[in-house]
Amino acid sequence: MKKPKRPDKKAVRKTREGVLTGRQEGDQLLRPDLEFNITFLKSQLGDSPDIIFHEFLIGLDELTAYLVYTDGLVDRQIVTQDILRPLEMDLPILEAKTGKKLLVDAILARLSKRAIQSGEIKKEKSFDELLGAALSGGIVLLVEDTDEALIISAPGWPTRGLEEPDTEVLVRGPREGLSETLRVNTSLLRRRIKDPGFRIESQKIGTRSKTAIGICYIKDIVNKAVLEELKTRLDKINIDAILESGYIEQLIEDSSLSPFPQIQYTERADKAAAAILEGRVVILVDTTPFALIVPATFAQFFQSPEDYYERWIIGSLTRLIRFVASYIAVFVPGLFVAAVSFHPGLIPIKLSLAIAAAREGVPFPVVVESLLMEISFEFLREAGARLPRSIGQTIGIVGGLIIGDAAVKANLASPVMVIVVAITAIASFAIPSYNLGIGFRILRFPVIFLGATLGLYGVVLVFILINIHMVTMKTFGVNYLAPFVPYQVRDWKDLLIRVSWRKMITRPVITKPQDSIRQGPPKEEH
Amino acid sequence: MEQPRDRITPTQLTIVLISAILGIDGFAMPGMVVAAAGRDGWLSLLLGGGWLLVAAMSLAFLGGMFPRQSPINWLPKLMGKWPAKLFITLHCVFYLVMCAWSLRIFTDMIRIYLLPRTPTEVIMITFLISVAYLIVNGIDPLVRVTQVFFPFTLIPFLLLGIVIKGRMDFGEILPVMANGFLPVLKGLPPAIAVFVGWGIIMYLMQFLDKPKKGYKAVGIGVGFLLLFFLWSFILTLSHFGPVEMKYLLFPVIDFVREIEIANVLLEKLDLFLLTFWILTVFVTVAFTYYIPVLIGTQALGFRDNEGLVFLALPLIFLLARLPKGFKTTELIGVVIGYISLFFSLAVVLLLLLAWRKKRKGGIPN
Amino acid sequence: MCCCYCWPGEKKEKGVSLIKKLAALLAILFLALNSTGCWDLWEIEERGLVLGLGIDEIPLEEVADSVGLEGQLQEEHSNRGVRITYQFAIPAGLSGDEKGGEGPGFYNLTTSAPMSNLIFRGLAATRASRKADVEQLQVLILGEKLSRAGIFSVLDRLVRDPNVRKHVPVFVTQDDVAEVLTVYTKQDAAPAIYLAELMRNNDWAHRIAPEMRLGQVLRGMREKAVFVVPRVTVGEQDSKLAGAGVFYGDRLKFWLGEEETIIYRWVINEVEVSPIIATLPDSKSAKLINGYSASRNKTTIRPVIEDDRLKFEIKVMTKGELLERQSFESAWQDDLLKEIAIELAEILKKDMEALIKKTQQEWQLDIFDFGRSVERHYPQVWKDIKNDWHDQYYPAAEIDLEVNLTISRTGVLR
Repeated sequence: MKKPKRPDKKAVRKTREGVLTGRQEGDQLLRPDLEFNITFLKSQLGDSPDIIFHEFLIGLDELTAYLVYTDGLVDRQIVTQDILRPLEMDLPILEAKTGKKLLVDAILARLSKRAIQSGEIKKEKSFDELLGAALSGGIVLLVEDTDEALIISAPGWPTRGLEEPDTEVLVRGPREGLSETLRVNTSLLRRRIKDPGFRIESQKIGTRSKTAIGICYIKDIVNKAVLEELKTRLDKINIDAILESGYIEQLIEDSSLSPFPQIQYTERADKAAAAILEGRVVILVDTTPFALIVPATFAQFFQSPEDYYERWIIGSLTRLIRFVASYIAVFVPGLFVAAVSFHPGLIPIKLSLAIAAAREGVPFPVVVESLLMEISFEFLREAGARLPRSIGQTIGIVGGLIIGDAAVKANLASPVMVIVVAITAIASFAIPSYNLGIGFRILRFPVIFLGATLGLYGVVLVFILINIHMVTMKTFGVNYLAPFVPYQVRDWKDLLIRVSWRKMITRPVITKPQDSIRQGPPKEEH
Repeated sequence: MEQPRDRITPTQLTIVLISAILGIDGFAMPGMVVAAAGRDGWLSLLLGGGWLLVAAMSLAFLGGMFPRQSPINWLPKLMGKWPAKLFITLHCVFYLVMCAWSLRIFTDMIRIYLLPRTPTEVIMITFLISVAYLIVNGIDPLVRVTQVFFPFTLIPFLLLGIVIKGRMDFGEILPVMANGFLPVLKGLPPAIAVFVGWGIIMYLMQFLDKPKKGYKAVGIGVGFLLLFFLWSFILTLSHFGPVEMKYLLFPVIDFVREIEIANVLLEKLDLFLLTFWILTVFVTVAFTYYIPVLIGTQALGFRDNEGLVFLALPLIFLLARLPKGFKTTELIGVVIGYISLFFSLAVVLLLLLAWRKKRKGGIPN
Repeated sequence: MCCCYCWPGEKKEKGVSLIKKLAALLAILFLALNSTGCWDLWEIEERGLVLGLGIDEIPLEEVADSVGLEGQLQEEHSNRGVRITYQFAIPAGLSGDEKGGEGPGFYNLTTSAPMSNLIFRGLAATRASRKADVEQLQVLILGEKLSRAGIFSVLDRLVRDPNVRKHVPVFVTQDDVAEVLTVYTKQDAAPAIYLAELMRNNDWAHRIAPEMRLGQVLRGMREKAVFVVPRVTVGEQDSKLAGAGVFYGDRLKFWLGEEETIIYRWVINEVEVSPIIATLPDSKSAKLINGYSASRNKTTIRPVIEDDRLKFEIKVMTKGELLERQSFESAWQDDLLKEIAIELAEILKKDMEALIKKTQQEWQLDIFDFGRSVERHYPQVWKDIKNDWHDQYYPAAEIDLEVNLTISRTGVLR
C-alpha cells in the first residue's frame, strides 16, 4: 500500500511562516509621521465600523493625536475619564500654569507616569503590537511627530456574571465558577492563594486569535520538570486560533489515541486552586471558563472537591462508590453477555431461569440485543444533551421509561437487559469527570464484542489490554496510573479513601513537589 | 513519582515472584503431590518449599553481589566463559519451553472449563499478542501491570479461605508419617515443581534498585507462596481425602466449585477463580516470554527488544502446539520440574563458589 | 523481520509504529473472530436446562422394547440397560411472568439405553428440541435396582463432564424414578427444585440423612467406603425425604429407617436439633411423654486398644430444652429436671447401642466410619486390619457408650 505523499518541506515551511505572520515578512515599526502611521493602521485593520480612530487635539500646541481602539472591547469610561479628559483638559491647564509648551515626548512621559490612571500602560514601537493591542481591548494613543505610541489596557467587554458551573455541581462548596475573562479568573485564583510565590505567566497562543493564557503555579511547590515540559509543548503549538482550552489540551497531551484523558479541566475556581496547591500547574485560557490542570493522573478524575469539604467518611465512601461504578460501567454489559451466552452456570439457577424466560420471545441473540439497547441509549443521551434544558430532561425520562418499556413489550428486548443498560448508564454518570466517563463509555463496546466472541476469557482479555495501555501511558512524565502502581503507599491516603484532614500532612508524592509538607502539627495555644 | 526506567523496587520483586509462580501449576499440584506422597504431602511441600527458599535466596545473594549487572556479565566470572554461555543459552531455551508449556496448559484449561469449542489457535494467539504488546515496552510496564493485577490474584487466596460447610475433615492429614519418611521424599519432586519459574529472579536482580535487599523480597515472596500452597493442599486434602484426590486433575478447581454460600449466591465460584487466575497466568507467560527476549537482546547487543519479541512469538506458538495430548503436556511439566530441581542445586553451588572466590580475593566487577 | 532492531535516534518513532501494528493486528483479529464465529456461544434460552436427572436400571430387553431400536443392540458390550429421566426446565413457566403463562415449569423426558451407550447429553438429543445443558443440575436420583447392581460406571461418565456440578445432591429411592420427578408441591416450581430445597431441611429434620453430594458419593465409591445416601419416597401429592440407603463401594446394601437415621446422625455427630421422646412415670403413675430438643451436641469417638481388644469409647454430650410435656405438674424443679434428663439419656443410649449393634452383627458394616478413627490413632494396627475391618474386626469391637444430657431450658413455660 502506497504511503500518502509527504507534503513538500519547503512548501510547509512557507505555509508555517504564513500562518505565523499572517501577511508579509518583516515587522514594521512606527515612523514619526502620524499620517503614515494612521494610514498603515487603517490599511491593516480595514473599514470595520467597530474599530474606532478617534482624532483629537492635545495641548496648547494643538498636537494631533489619535486613539485607536475596538468599540465593544474597551471600557468607555476609561476612554473618556482617563484619557481624553486629562489630555484635553488637564494638560492645557498644566501648561498654562507652568507656562511651558510640552514636547511630545514629555507629554507621553507625563501621561504614562502621572495623568492616566488606568492599569497597564506600555510604550510601543512595533505595528504588530499595536494591532494586537487595538484588537484585544487596548487603546492605542498615537501622537504626531513621535515614533512611539502608548498602549493603554482598558478591557471592558460584556461578561457573564459568576455562576456555579453546572457541569460540576456540588452540594457543599463555593458557587463561583471561572469566567470567560482571563483577568477575572486570575482574580478568583488570587483570592484563594495569597502567597507571593503564586505566579502567573502569560502567553499568547494562536496566531490569529492571539488568545491569552495564564500559566499558574506556586513557585516553590511546583514540579519544575513538569513546568518546563509544559512550556516546551505550549511553545510548539503553531495553530491559527485557540477557541477553547480543549484545543490546547489536545495539542499538548501525551497520547491522543487513548480513550483516557490525560489533562484535567475544571470550571471551578476552588478545584483549580487546590490543584495549584498540590504542586500542579493550571492553565487559564481567555474566552473560556474551562481551565486545564496538568499533570493529571487516572486517580484524579475520580476526585471531586466535595470529597474534601465533607468529612472523611463521606469522602471515602463516595470515592469507593465511584470506583466501583467505573468498573460497572465498563464491564457489566460485557459480563452479562458473556454470562448469558457462554456460561450461565455463573448465574444462580433461579436468576438464570428468569433470564431464560425473559428472553424466550426475543428474536436476537443477547449480543445484538445488548448492542441495540446500548446504542439506543447513546442516541437518547446525545439527543437529550442538545435539546434545551426543559425538553431535554423530559426526553430523557420519556425515552427511558416509555421506549424501554415498549421495547420489552414488543419483544425487542428483555427486561433484564433494560436493567443492565440502565445500571451501566447510571454508573457511568457517577464518575465526576465527564471526559473520563465518556472514555469508559467507549470502552464498553470492545468489552461487549469480546464477551460475545470469547466469553469470560474475552472480557478478561480486554481488561488486561486496557490495563496494559494505561500502565504504559505517561502524562508529562508522570505515570498515568500513579499512585496505584507503582505502589506509593503514602499517596493511598487520598486514593480510594480519604483520611481525615489531620492526617493529610504531605502533598501527593507523584507530582514531586518541591515542598511536600502541607500541614504541620497543630499550633500551640498561647 | 517517576521511576527511572528499568528499575524495580524490592516490593515489586516480591509481587512479581508471587504472581509469576502462582499461576500455572498450583491447581494441579495437590493431586500430584498426593499421588506421590499421600497424606504427608504437606511435609513434602514444607521441605521442598524450604529448600526452594534457600535456592531462591541464593540467587538473590548472587545477584546482589553484582549489582545492576546482567547474568551475562557476571556468570562468566564464576563459571568461565563457555560454560556460562552454555548455561545461559540452555536457560533461555528452558524459559521458552516453559512459556510455551504454560501457554498450553492455560489454553487447555480454558477449553475445558470456559470455551470448549473455541479453536486453540484463537486462544493462544490472542493471548500471545497481548503479552507481546506489553513486553515490547520493557521491564517497567511489565512490573507495573503485575502490580495492578496483584490484588486480583490475591482473591483466590481469600476464596480458599472460605471453608465449605460440613464434610471438611482437617484430620485427614493424620496420621502423620504412617509409612515412614519415604513418601515424603517421593513427594519432593512435585512439591518443588510447583514453584517452577523462580529462576526469573536471576535475571530480575539486575533491575533491582536496592540490590542488597533482594534476598528479603525473595524470602517474603517464596514464603507467601509456600503458605498458599500448603493451605490449598490441606484444604483440598481435607475435603476430598487422599484416595479421590489422585483421580482429580485439578483438585483446587473442584474444591472451589463446591463452595456454596447461603445457597443462593456464588454457586459457581470456580468461574470467578478462573477469571482471576487468567490474570496471574498472564503474568507467568509474560515473564517467561520476556526473559529469553531479554537474554537475547542483551547477548546480541540490540537496542530494543521488539525484533526478538516478534521473532519469539511464532516460535512459542509452535512450541505450544507441539504436545499431542494432555499426557504429553503433563510429562513436559514433570521434566520441567526436574530441571528446576537441578537448577536449584546448581544455584546453591554457584553461590558457594562465589562466596569462596570472594573470600579468596575479590571478584572483578 | 529480523532487521527490526533500531538505531538510537529513531527509537521512539519505530516503537510507536510497531506497537500500532500490533494493536491494529489485535483489532483486526478480534473483529474477524467475531464474524467467523463465536464458537461457544450458546444462548441461554436455547439451552435445554436439565434440572434433575433420575437413573434406574432395567433389563436389556426392555430397552429394546421401549425405544424401538433397530439393528444390533451391542449386547456384547454390556448386559445392563438403563432408563434415564431428564427434567427439562420451561423457563417461561417457572418465572411467573405475565408472558410466561400458567404452564408447568418443566417437562420430563424418559429414555432408555444400554449401559454402554450412555452419553447423557446425546441421549436426550434425539427427543428433546433443545440440547441438554447439565450445568444447572439440581438433583440426581438413583433407583434401587441400579444402586444394588452398582452405580460406578454410570456416575463416572456423568462426572467426567466438567460442566456437571459435583455439588449436586444425590438421592436414592425405592420407587419409580420417573415418578419421583413428577411430584411437587405448589410452593416450588419443579420437582427437581422441590427436592433440592427439601434437602436443605436436613439440618433441622433429622429423619433426613445428612446431605450427600455427587462429589462425596464419588469419593466414597473410590475409597470403597461405606456412605449413606438420603432416601426419597413418593407420595400422592408430595415426596418424603426420610431414611437412607447404605452403600458399600458402589452398591446399595441396606436401608436405614427413619428413626434409625436420627440415631445414625447422633453417632456421627451430625445432630443440630433433634427430638428425643421419653416417657416418664408421673406421680400419678401414668406414662407421659416428655419431648426434648437438643441444641448443642457433641459426640466424640475414641478407639482404645487394650490387651489385643479393640474398644470404642463414645461420649455424647448434649444440652437442650424441654419442649413437650404432658403433665400439669411444673417441671421447674431441679431434681425433677435431672430425673427427666437421666431418663432421656438412657433412651438415647439404648437407641444408639441398638443401632451400632445392628450394624455390627446384622450388617457387618461400619457405617459410622469408626475405622477412620482407628487409622488416625493406631495407624500401624490399622494397616493390618483394614482389609478385614467390616466383617471381622468391627463386629468384634466393644462399645463403651456414655450419654450426658443436660436440660438447660424449658421453653417459655415452667
